[in-house]
Amino acid sequence: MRSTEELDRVLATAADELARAIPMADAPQHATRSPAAMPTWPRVAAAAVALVGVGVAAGFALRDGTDRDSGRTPPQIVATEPPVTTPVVPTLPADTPTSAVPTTSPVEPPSSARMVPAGDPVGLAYRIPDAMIPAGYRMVAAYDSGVGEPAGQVPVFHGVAVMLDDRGMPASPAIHVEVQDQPPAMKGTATSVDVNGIAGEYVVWDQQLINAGSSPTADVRWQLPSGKWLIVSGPSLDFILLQVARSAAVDDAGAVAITPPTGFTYLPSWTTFGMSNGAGIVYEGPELGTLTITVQRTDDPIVLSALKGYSASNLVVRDGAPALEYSGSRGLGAVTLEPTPGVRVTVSHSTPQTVRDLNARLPLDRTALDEIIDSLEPIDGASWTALQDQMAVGYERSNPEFPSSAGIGDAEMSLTGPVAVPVTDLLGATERTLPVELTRSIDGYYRLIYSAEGGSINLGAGPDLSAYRGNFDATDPAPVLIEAGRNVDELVMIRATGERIPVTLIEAAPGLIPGTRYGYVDAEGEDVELETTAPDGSITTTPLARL
Amino acid sequence: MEHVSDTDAEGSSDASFESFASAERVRLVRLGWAMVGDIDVAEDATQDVLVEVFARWSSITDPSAYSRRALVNRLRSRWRRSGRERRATARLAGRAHPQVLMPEPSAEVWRAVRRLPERQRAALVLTVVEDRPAEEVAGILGCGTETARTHVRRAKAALANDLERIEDHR
Repeated sequence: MRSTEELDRVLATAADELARAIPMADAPQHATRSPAAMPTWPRVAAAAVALVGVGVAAGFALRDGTDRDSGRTPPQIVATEPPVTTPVVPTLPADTPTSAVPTTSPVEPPSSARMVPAGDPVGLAYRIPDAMIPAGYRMVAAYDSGVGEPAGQVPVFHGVAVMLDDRGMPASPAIHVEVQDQPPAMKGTATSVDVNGIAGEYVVWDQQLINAGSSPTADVRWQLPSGKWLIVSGPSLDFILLQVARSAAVDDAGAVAITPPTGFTYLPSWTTFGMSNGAGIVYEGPELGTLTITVQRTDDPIVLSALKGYSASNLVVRDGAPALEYSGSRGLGAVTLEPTPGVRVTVSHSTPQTVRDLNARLPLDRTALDEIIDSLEPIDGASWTALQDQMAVGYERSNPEFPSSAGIGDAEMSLTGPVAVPVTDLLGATERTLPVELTRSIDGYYRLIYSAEGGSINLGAGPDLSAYRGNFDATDPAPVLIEAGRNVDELVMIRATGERIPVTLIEAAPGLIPGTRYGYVDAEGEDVELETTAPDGSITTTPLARL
Repeated sequence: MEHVSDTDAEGSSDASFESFASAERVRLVRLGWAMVGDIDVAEDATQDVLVEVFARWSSITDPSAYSRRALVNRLRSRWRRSGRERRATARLAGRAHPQVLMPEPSAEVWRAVRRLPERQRAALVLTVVEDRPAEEVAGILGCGTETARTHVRRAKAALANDLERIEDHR
């Protein structure tokens, strides 16, 4: 073993080299702005404000961009003039009737995607009213490159329109606004709809094409005079039409404006499909807190380089008025409202579903956390308590077993045993009552900790209790292995550090082969493989059902 | 080793927050990188923490310790998602992934550090990277001073074994 002095020298050297590798001089040039330096989003008078299917703002051009993944060239948006139109004033009363004409016809996906040639200014006229843009900023176009989209779909723009009420609180749910060069390549059926004389189609998406828990369930789409398609998505036809009909109008340029109801303003943000973390907004804290939009670049290295020093944008809600703050560094993200031309950004870090649920839950406070706790399935002999009083900031209903479980945040709940947990069912053992501590983070992950002599072992982590079928440790860079000893009743946990901890929790594990290691590895996303290392060193992996 | 000075906890003005953020950002990024080895994750977590600190600036008495505790906690949950995030990112446009480059011996040390259990890793990193005494480490991690010392001691022991094992395999 190294001497203490030698190890200290090694560590000191490593620390010094870390300091050189991430020097202070490399700090972002644009350090975090003080609140005073933040532009304040003007409160927008409801009658005068329209959210347009967001796209292009004044005078910028998107620099190129070959989509490196597909080799395609994404559509370019070039606007050489500031927007000249004024915000659209609503022309429809809130109770404008809408109709859905039952003229159903199959919708066929387009045979191929029609791409806008590089350099071709597409002349989109979708605008955000000036009043929506913080002083000193202008809106940059945001669209993703189409990577991750179903073939044939390359949205020019995909936005999430989130309404803020007069307290700055997002209303629920959000609707999605998307502009595409062609109708979405969705299988399904279309029903003609009419909103104030504007004919559109209502499309029920093929569920197979919907990311579970993260996508709207219906589209209403219109073909604009420009030939492009405006797709408004929401959880239901009724909701979409309600939102659109109560305030929508189509201006001469073909842009659809959605005027918020009295007392609401729209907060645009962006999303991208195909990202595991989706897009969205994070709200933190009770009452007015921090509303964070984190974005992720999908741009090429040229723009990445130009954007060095920026990563995340944060929309800080203070006194009901959202103000844009951006600061950050390299890494994931660029800003959504940022004065650098030629930036394509997409949003990451939560899903539209999360946004919707988040909206539904705001403002979250301890009561909300308690509600979540109350909703958890009771387990005999134990009860859930909050370990931290940090607020839950997200909410998701993706887990049928715990329908009010997942979310985003740091709140953590603890369930302290004895708890009957089937930790070994994969290995053939029966359920045991174990002296374990089960913690559950608010984002839906459980960790099962067994405290044994010599330390504690993370027996597993997963989105629900059924995950405890072994030793999959999602939090550990190297999976904890489980090794069957000579006696199949005997297991040894092997930490990544090589530490071997005998565990004799299991009465019988007939499926174990002496001398064989069993471990779980995170194969892709949430999929898990069972990795078996035979005594001769050969390794085989077996895909397991999704936890 | 770089000395870390605590930011003036009394200042609650905008300027003091800006000063704090400017002074602490890179240190937090280093701390985050040492913990997880991913500069993207470290920077984003740092950013999130600074936002959190900003939102609570007037009520935080020790922003330096608070931010580090928040960072450690955030990285703990963030780590779970980072793998998927990186894979998703990699699918996008073949973008270059920023890396922190350093000589291999030290890089190996940091990889070994990241194989340590969570609490030990945090305690060791706070001690080594930030040169913090056990009392401060304990305050950040929310444990007793002796516990913090124990974490560091065990971390060093495990690290020594790990590094020795690696050397033996060469």
